[in-house]
Amino acid sequence: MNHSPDYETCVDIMHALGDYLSRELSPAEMEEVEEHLQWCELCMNHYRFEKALTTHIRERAQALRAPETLRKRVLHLLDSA
Amino acid sequence: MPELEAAKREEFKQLALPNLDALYRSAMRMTRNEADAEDLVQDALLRAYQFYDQFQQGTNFRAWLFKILTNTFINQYRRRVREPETLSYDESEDFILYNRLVESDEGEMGNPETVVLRKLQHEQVLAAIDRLPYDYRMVVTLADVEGLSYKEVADILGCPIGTVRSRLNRARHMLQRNLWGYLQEAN
Repeated sequence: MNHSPDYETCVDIMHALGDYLSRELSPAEMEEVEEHLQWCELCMNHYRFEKALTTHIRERAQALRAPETLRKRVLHLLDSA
Repeated sequence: MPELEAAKREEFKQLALPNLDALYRSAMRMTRNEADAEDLVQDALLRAYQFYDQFQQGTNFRAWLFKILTNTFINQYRRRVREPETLSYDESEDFILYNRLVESDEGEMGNPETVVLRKLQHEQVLAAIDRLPYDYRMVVTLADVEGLSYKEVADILGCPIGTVRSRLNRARHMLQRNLWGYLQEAN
């Protein structure tokens, strides 16, 4: 297939990138975005950035753990409930 | 029968405790302070245990716990929590972080994602999430941090899937604007 930059398509794809990242598009839409990303460098750069950022946010935010005191408190309360 | 009660208690613990970190993380984003977050998780887990008979086996226990956490927060804590002052949101500013980084000198020196990954620390990411209004910070927390599906988030927050979709997209853009602010402060 012959690909050329198409402003309208890129705008649509970029709007769909968030849902694509969350894997919340229909199978046909997922495939459409995947196919586009294979040849469109502009959208691919945006996608790569959004993916890296979302992963980074998840990893940073997940570093937070429940304090041990809370775990003990909950166990104690459940045992006496 | 005490044996049955003990078995039920053990079963509940085995299901609930692996979710303690995730519940605490979400409670921290809801209340934005440690003491309230701990009380909230404790209240929610006790409530979940009291209603455990009503949990339908085979359905999603994790989502059920998050729903109880959310409802407990709304009923008992929300009035006390001061919401952050939020800036108005400019609809036209999609991909703000990417665009600003590409325009900046640093963007020219390498991939914009490398700049972000190197500079944004744990505290800044959490602070940037906490500056979002409640509805937005919860979709980011549940979907992007805890990895729940749009459908699960919709059930937990009691809104349509379409609302989750649009809020999450908006929340991500708002979050990027907040993160850009921290990156500028760091320079």
